[in-house]
Amino acid sequence: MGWRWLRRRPLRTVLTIAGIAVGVALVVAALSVDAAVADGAAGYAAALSGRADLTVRAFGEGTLSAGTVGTIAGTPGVLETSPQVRRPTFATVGTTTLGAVTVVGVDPAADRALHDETLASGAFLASSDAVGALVPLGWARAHGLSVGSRLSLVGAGGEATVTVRGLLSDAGPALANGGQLVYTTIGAARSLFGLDPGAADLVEVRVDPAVGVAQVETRLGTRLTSQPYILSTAADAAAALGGATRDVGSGLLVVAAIVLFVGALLVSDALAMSVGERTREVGLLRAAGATRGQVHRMVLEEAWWLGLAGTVLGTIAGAGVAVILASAVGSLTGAPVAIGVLDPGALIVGVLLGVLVTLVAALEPAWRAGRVSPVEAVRRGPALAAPVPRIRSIAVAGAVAAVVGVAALAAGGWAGGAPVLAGSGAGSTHGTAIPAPVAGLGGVLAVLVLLLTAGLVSPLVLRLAGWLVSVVTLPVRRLLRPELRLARGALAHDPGRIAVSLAALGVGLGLVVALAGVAQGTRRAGEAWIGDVAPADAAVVAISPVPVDFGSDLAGVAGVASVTPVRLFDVAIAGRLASAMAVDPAAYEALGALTVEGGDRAAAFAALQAGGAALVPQSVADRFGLRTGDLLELRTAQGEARLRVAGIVAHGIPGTAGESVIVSATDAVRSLGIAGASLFLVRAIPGAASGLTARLETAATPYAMSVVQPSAIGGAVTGALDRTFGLLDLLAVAAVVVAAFCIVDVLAMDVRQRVGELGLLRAAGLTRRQAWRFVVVEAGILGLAGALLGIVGGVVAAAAVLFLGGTTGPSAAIEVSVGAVLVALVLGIGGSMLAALYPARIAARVEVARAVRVE
Amino acid sequence: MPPILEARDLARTYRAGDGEVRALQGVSLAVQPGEFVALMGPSGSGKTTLLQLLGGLDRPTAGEVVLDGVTISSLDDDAATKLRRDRTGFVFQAFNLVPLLSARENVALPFLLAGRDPRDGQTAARVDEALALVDLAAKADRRPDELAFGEQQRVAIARAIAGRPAILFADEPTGNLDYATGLEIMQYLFRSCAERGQTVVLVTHDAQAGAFADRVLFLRDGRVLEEIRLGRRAEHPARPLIERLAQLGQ
Ligand SMILES: Nc1ncnc2c1ncn2[C@@H]1O[C@H](COP(=O)(O)OP(=O)(O)OP(=O)(O)O)[C@@H](O)[C@H]1O
Ligand SMILES: [Mg+2]
Repeated sequence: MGWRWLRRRPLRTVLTIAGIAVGVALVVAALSVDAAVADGAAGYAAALSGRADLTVRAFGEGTLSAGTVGTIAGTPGVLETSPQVRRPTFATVGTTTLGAVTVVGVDPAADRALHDETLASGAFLASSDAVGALVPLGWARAHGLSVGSRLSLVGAGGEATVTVRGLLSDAGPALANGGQLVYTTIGAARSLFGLDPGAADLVEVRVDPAVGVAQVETRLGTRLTSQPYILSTAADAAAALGGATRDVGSGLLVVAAIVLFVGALLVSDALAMSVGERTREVGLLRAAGATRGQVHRMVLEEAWWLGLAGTVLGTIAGAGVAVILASAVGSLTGAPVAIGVLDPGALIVGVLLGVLVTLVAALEPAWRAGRVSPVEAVRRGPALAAPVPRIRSIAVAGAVAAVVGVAALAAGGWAGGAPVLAGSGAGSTHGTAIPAPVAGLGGVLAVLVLLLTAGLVSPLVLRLAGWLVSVVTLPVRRLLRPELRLARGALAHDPGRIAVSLAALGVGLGLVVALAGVAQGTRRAGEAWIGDVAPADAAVVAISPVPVDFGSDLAGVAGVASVTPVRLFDVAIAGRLASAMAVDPAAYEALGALTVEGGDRAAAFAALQAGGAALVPQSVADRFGLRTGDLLELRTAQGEARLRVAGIVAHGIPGTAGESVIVSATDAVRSLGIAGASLFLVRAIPGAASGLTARLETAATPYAMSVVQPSAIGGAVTGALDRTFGLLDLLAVAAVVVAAFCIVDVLAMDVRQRVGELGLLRAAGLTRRQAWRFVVVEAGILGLAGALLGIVGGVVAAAAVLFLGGTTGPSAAIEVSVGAVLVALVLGIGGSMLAALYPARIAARVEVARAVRVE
Repeated sequence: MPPILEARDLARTYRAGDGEVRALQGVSLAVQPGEFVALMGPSGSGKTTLLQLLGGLDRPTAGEVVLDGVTISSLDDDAATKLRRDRTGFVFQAFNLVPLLSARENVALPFLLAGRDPRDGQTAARVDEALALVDLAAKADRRPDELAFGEQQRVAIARAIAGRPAILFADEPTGNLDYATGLEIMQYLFRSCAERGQTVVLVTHDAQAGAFADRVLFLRDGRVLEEIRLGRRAEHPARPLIERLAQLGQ
């Protein structure tokens, strides 16, 4: 019976099924991609580690000595070791620069014992090869290199030229650092960077499984006493990568939640409509002896067919979407993601959700149908389809939201994703937490709350939008008067139903605005930050520390007003890795650097100058619970210092482990054994900035230093941000597309339901074109209302994210980007008007003669 | 005086499944200005079909309709729609009102559709006048679902006459109403005819309603079987008409 009813209203049935199908498809795709991403990250990490279980790294800028390397190899339980030199530098071919690369110096035999590298062409290196190199195939292609090509690497004492002996397949360790790698023998790398014979930056270790990683870690702890080191396991690496990519899956879940929510409302709507239409039929059945329970079951059966069809279609579509998304995610995050066999867990969750949500959405219409009295069958007069009361829609929305929310929680728990509210920082080498505004299940719930709120305020917003449209179209009022009046009336008539599509659209557009706001706010904050800590016209960067005197050569360059040396180094604070920078306080103060939070900048610099003091960035103070006046213990490989916190500053230069604590160069040399400079901040004489970079380069190159924009000091920050936001933008656009689909659905159903009304209007003189415009204008108002909701909601959400999620601090002020607002308006209004084209066509084609006949 | 509405050899065939339904097979008629004509006949005789063709809601398979000098049956959809808007008014059995507009706005609908401001002095005056004619000035701002069925039909009549159309078409306007309310509706229709010279074409199978007409055309199987002239009268007893219809085997 239910099945036959559905066949009688094919369009509505198809639209409803499509609504569920899209929701289920997105859930399946999100979960599959999530699983694939997790697998991919694990596989990637495993490929990077190969058979190595442990990595021992030198702490700070020193190396592991030949003695230490020997001790590691000799520790019981260690089966194999592979020492490596691993350092960043620049590569050039002739005069063209190939950019930053990481030189990996290995003992070829030891390396291949731990990793299964394969060659695309050429040959592996011989241990004695002092001038040979291997490069990854992809990188080689990008720069036109092949076997036999020669390239120059910038080293500590100048350049060294190597010849490409082989191209590595783009797999395993060759994927690290985006494939920008140059493998040499460890001997060649040592001489390039001027390291002692036998020294290494890290040692990869394979552990005897019988002994176990933990046991070996303990043994290393007791034996390696001569110098500090950092231990990491293969599992650590996998976790870091997983964290970076998990946000993607969570973002998808958010979109899927929106869609399922709307899909559920569509089901509820379609069923309520057909129950309304069939009031007399149901009454007849009741009069003929159908029990209330039988009527309930009939409606539920209808829902069951809808849910089943939607779920089956959605699952199939989901598989397709998953493949497409996986490749998009792969290209955006750089981690390889492949969908092999569809994840069975994802399938189960998708199917359960689809059917469950449909049935829950059907409860209310079923209950209503059960209450139809037998008297309806014999009542004279039209069976007026009672307008759906607001309360009903809101209650249904609430119930569905709760189901979807709980299901999403369960799904998330199953997917193994702990709530991730802020990017774990794994994407950023500088330890700045990137706020990932819609990530995680917190995000899913937040979006559902937003949907409900948006739904609740939508009647008001609709009225506002309708009024705005009337005002804007004042010049063409004569032309559009009937369409406008009818559209506003239609929107006001059934606020509950309209609220759903409006809420979906609003949330989608809100995401666009919020992401743009957060991205821009964070980027601005990043710029302001660099301006605060490195107020210079150029920065000259050294690969490894150079004597401070090199600065005087730079100071002699024409147009240079001042040169301030800065030394960046790693320290341990309370046993944890942190970054520090040493400067000459007077010179740094003169540059105008640093904002002291709620304190006296002059006094802070005076204390730094006097010695025994440090300035601590807000993020570091938060991390270690420091306040002005506290004692801070810094430790390096060469020494330690107890410094008084003279002030909390907004920011320090980003180092390898977060923002740098600022100490005076004198203290650094005296107590910490840190000397030299890693970068020079250069100020130009006003008006002499042009050509400065070229002149500086001439002076810097002999010292193997390079000239960069000050912003490049934090360059990795911006890069990581761009990647993250690119991905989130993708999701937001997906949400808007889905919302547009919902609008097609709702409007098409509306038009169908209003055939009688349209027939009446057409009889009274509404032309086809007017009927068409009526629906399009209605959609336009809807779109504007969605955009208004989205803009306000998005700005609020962005502010909340920046306020709660960012370690960037209060300086990351939210900025309403005009561009994002415009995009939201265009997407909202244009998108929903576009979506209205099909329903408008139906409206224009209504046959008057048939429509006005009483059924 | 030339007729205000003329139909010549109208035929309308519906496709139904594999077969055809010949709903009208050669109907000719003429309506004079100010005349009140009723179309009666058994169910399925083609009354509604004829009315829809006369009012330009549908197109004939053969024949033509001339409304107020315009051959409406050969106009394209747009032109026919505008002609309907400007020269005709409709009252159906039910669902006559747009639920999202107030009673006054429903009456003003033809003006609104023509792009005129319903609050404009002259338009507003016509709307008020029409509402007054059906004695609904007091309930003008109610929404349709806040009105009784009879009142809804009165609003529909007000809308149909507000634009001073050449012809008012009504298809069983009393079909959903009880005896007393139906009579009341007919009195309002008659009043528009008597007081304003409104031409009315009414479809009904209720002799009580048909008795208000000057002339009754009796249809059967898509043809005009009989014409009954009653003439304009102050009283409208149903009995004489019922007797005539009984003779026709009705
Ligand atoms: N859209 C249609 N498709 C097929 N047949 C139709 C259609 N509309 C009407 N008919 C048929 O045309 C014939 C005339 O119908 P019409 O509605 O004009 O009759 P009527 O005299 O108005 O009847 P009633 O008094 O019941 O309203 C009927 O046999 C009907 O079944
Ligand atoms: Mg009829």
